[in-house]
Amino acid sequence: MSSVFSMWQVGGGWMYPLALLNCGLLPLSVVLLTLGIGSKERNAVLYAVILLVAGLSPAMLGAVAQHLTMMNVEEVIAMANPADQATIRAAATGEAMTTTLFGLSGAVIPVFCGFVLLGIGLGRLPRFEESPP
Amino acid sequence: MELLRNAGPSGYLVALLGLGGVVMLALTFAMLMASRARQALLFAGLVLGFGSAALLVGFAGRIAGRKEVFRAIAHVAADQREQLLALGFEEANAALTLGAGFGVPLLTLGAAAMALQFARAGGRR
Repeated sequence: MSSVFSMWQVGGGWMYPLALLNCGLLPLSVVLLTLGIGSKERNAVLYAVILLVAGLSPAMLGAVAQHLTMMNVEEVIAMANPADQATIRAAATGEAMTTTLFGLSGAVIPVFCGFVLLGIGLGRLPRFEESPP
Repeated sequence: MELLRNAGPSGYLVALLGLGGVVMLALTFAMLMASRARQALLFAGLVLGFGSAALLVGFAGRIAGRKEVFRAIAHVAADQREQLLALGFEEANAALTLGAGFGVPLLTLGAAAMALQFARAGGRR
């Protein structure tokens, strides 16, 4: 629990949209999976595509946040004492990776649910109706 | 086994997801052999799900490993940094190696099973 809290502190302002996305995607995955199982094939495939695209969004946002943070870090390093630059860069790179890690963690469940729903939806297409023996 | 040990906790999770995917893949091909299209597509979806999860967890494990390496090298002497960085990256990459080792074949074979089922259904029409 303390590691999550320290990750939150290290991640900075980018953690708020990421946490919002991750918290929103978990219930969305459950809701769309439930709706997709109980609906027609067209809706199931649509929900699957929504889940797959939305699932990758926190990972993308995390990667963008890391790169923007690193750009700021390089600006700061340019003004720092040359003897300390390597230390600052190493510490900052480790901290900047927090957002990517957080985003990737949030992408796992929606992407998994999306692929499962895709299989269910495609299997319900009329062309895969099993003919009686 | 060394790869699994180097990868840490995320490595075990990747291995678990990968093995789940392998089981689903076996079930997919069993359903394909039995010409049960719907079940085959359902299991192919599960294969793709497990494969992508293994790949994502492996990638997250690599990022977590690298993060720790960068945090560690900030506190060591400058002459030891290069060596520590190389060793740390090697260990951090173990998670991604494991994730890609399970994820890429699972994703490829899952997609191939789906495509095969579509080709069969297209041929029947």
